Amino acid sequence: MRKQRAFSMHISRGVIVASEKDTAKHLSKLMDDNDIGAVVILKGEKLTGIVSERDIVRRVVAPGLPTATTKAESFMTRDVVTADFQEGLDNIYRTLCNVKFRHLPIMKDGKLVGIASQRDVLYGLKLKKK
Amino acid sequence: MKARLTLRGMIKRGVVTASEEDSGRGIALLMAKKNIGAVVIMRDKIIAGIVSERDIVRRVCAQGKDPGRVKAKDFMTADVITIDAQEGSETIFKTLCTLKFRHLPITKGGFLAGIASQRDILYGPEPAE
Repeated sequence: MRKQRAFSMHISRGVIVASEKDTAKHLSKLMDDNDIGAVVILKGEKLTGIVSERDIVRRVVAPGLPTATTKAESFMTRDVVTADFQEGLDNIYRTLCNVKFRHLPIMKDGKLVGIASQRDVLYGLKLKKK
Repeated sequence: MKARLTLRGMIKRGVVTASEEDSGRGIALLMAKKNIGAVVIMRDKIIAGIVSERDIVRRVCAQGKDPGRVKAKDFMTADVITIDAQEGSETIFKTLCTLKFRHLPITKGGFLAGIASQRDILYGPEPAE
């Protein structure tokens, strides 16, 4: 019998968050400093959006908007797909293949507890094959 | 029995290229238009570098540089890792897991022949018509 690995093993727990008022430049710096590809946007404790490298490139740089003054609220992705903490790795793999995102915020009782990236899952599957 | 996949089935052949003199904004526009995450930078017929979304975010935006003025040669990754078209899918899978890149240019006889991305590997090859 194949042993199912819990998805919780593949989550990065220290999620980097920012506010809707933070600028594209600030978010870029956060990504650089923390070696990550997406920042979750919170308003209080509520998840209101996510900003990926792609969002910055396509919605700020490509249209020629100033990175130092353009705020997250104007270019973040608002329709955020999330996954539940209890889900299995196979489910998350399927979700990451079906949606065009590389990062899935992980929720537990309605609160943000982590983030899973395509890379986490690639690593996870590699572990599973052993 | 599990069928063995060759890398060739996973390569996108229409690689998008740009020149070292193109601006950060020009490359961002190209990425948006072609719906891709990396552009290979060519000098004549030789691969001179690669620019990913990450390069634009970290080496241009985070540094406060103006994407409209900065040129690819100033922020591209010049040390490009490539893979030969003959390699098997396991090698590329391993390479993409080990390295911190999402895109691997594929060469044939030393020249650019395609590009393979992490997503291509996740999805696997597209079914044959």
